[in-house]
Amino acid sequence: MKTSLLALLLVLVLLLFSGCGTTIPQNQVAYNFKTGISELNWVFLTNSPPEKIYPYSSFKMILMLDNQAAYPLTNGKVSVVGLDNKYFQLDTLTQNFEPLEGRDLKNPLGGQTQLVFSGTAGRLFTNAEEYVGNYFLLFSYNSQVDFVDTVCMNPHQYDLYDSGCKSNPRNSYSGQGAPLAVTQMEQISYPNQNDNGGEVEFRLRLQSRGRGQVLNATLIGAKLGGEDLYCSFDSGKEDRNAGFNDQKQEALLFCKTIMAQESSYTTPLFVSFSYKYVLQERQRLWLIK
Amino acid sequence: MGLFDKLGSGVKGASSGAAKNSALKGLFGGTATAGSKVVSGAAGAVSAAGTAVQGAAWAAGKSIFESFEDPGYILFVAGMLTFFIPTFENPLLTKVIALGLMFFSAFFVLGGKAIFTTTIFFVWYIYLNAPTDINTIIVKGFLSLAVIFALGMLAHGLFSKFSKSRGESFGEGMMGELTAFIPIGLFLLHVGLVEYLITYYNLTLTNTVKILLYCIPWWALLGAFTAKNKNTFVKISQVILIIYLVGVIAYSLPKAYGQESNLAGVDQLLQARQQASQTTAQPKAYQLFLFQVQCYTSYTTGEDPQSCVERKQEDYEFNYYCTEIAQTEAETSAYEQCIKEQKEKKEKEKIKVSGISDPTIKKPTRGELVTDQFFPRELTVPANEPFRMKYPIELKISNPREQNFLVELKCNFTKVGSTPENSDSFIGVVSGGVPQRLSAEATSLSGTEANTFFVEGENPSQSFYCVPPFDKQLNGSYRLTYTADFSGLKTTSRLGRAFIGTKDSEWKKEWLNKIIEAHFPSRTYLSQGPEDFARMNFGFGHSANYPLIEDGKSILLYSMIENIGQGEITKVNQYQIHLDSFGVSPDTSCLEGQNYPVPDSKYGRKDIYLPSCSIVSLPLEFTNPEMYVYHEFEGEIDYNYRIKKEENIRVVLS
Repeated sequence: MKTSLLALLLVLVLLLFSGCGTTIPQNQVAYNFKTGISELNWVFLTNSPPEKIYPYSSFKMILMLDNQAAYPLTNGKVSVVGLDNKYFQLDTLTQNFEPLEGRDLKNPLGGQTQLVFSGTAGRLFTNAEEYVGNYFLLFSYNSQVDFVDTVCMNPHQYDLYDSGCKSNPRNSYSGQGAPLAVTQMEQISYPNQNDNGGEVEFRLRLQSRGRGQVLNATLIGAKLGGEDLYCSFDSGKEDRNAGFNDQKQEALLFCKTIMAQESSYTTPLFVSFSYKYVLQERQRLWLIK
Repeated sequence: MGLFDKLGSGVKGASSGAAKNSALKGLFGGTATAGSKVVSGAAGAVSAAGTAVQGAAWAAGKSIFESFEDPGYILFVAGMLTFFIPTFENPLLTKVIALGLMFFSAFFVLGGKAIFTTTIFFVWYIYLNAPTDINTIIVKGFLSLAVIFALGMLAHGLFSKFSKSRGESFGEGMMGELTAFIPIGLFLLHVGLVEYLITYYNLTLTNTVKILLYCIPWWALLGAFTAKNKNTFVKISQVILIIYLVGVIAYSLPKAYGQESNLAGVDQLLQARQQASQTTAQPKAYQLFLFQVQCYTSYTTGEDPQSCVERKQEDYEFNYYCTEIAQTEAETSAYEQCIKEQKEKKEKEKIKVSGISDPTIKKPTRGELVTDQFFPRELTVPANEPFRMKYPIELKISNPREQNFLVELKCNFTKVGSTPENSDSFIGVVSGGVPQRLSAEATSLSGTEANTFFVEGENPSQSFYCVPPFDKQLNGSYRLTYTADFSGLKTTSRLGRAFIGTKDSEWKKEWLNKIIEAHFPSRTYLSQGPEDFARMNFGFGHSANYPLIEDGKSILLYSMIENIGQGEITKVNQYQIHLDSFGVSPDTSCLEGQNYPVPDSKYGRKDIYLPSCSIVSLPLEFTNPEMYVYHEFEGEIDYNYRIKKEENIRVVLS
């Protein structure tokens, strides 16, 4: 019995680990980049900065930026904050980077670039053996995210004789290839009193799901089957700003429209958002005797 | 099976049948006889009463005696005795008692469940000497404890598995060892873990916690509640202890506090406990409790009971210092002056700026006078032949920063038994060992004789002799005092601060903790310096120990010189805090000064407070950064320091 349980556990662990990969499937044509949560990834090139830095020596911090999101990034900026210039002097503390393409069929790897911060180490404090300089790398950029789904417009939800589509009252989503994601959509339909068409309301839950924070999330536009859709982050008045800040990283978007047809039909729903994204990563430099 | 049975036949004999009966008869025989002789008048009633008293006394006596067969009760009594008869002035005795109680608890009270772990702990902590460096303790100490427990549990588990007589399973044996936490914990508490943390790591305890720690006889508590023989006396003891505990707790409502706890070497702990009980003249446990009782009704006078206790505690300390240490007579003007000075000193200490030893500096600048096995402590010389013995000593200097400074060596002979009025003391001649080149340099620099030398290099240790002057023939016992005066020592400390400018509450909510975690882990918000003879502790900010500085808020700067070594600071030649481009008010004496007066040596020259001031303007780069700016500042002192070494010598003229 115990052996069986152990074997089962092993299989489950293997399954779990095998599901953690991020490889791009071979059949790229069928691959949808606009799914899941992806964002700007970064890494220091090997030995840049070196693990140990000696007093009065020069060093470089070479940052490799890799846009794994499915949308282009613009106004990118990286800052080094919190380094004591007594120990580490950098030529510049902030650098902008060029727009990076998002991942798509033409560019499945996404846009990449390198930033180089050159620096010089200072002296150690009296006869100290070492100094650890903790600092933050701050990344910020602008980007967007598109939400697309096919919805069923059915004013007579509970009509037994309508053989058309059936609208789903609630759908969940894993993401749209960006750190900002529509994670849930509720569809509420109700017929008109005169039994001629009906109204539908979409409630989209917008959430920041990446490692950083979303700021200034704004609705760019929404269309239902090619027609503009009236949407607002406040159900009472027009508001295109989701009001994200350091603490609030979630919002609800309300979109309403009228269904002219009496019978059910399917149609694409498209909603697009722009946002500013900031990410902090704590790092350290090690000055050693 | 009782404890005495386990201890052996001698003890067993003493507690068994005949011995017990004769002892009891001896104790209570008088009462029994008196009772039986009352036979007249209302003889029946009196006789009955006498018999009742006799019976009660017999039962009580029997209870007391039987109680002593119970290890729990023995621990209770021993715990109460050690509680009421403190032995901290004798470290060896304290160590022996604490060890005895620890083993007694582990072996007998806890039924041998924790034998292995306690024994391994003993070997590690006492025999192998536990680590004393705090960083080592944090990493290695707790790891070692974990290993000790693991080994103890494993050993006991295996022992149980292969020992049929114990009737324990492997798991039962292992888990039983976990109870070793109790005797080991109480042992550490007994030898002064708390005092050690207070003295050396500025652990702050409220009076409430102090009372809970000091006023509860923990060993006795363990004994009373593990006693198996629940006879009348054990029950009475338990009730008394419960009433006492309730009383203590009622007068000391618990307050939350959080501090790291660390282990230290047993000698360090005892030393801390001694220091806490001697030098700081802290009230004893029962006095603290008494203050709590006295302050219970202080609400009626509008005073908060906690403040009342603190006030009484301070008054006690001042009084102790002025009468016992400064030797002034109560209600005299000298006494009043002493109390006033102590109060002023205490006020200054309240704004004391702490500092910590810089963990990245492994080699401090230190010096030590050391005698070796060849030192002639006792000497017999022919009376008719003048003989001038050379008394050698080595001045070991660790000068890792290769500073250049002067050392002047002196020695002095004082006849043992001489009084200040009739002093028989004379200065010895320092000779030998001092290289001529250094002496010449030193002489040209200091203008003094050849017993001064100029130190350079990393380990310039030096041996020299002290010789009695030509006109003095030693005869009898003397106290030989060597003195090394260091001049021009320099020690630098550093202090990190983060400047955040003006930020909104959302930014602060997100960033303040991140900045503190990144730049001020542990206690690094305090200034850090090498463990030299002395160092400057300094701090500035909206409060002295808060490391984040906002623009536009008042900033105060405090500093002091802390004497870390065993000697004394004899002069502060110069001090300087490098806060370039900072605006200060009222003047720059808080930033730099020369020839700063040192307090009188009777106060130990432990802490020298430097002028404090307000920082009224920040340099431009710190006023409003986009995010924040972290920077370290340095403060340095140039000072003279004196170390001494005393040796008792004896010269017998034959």
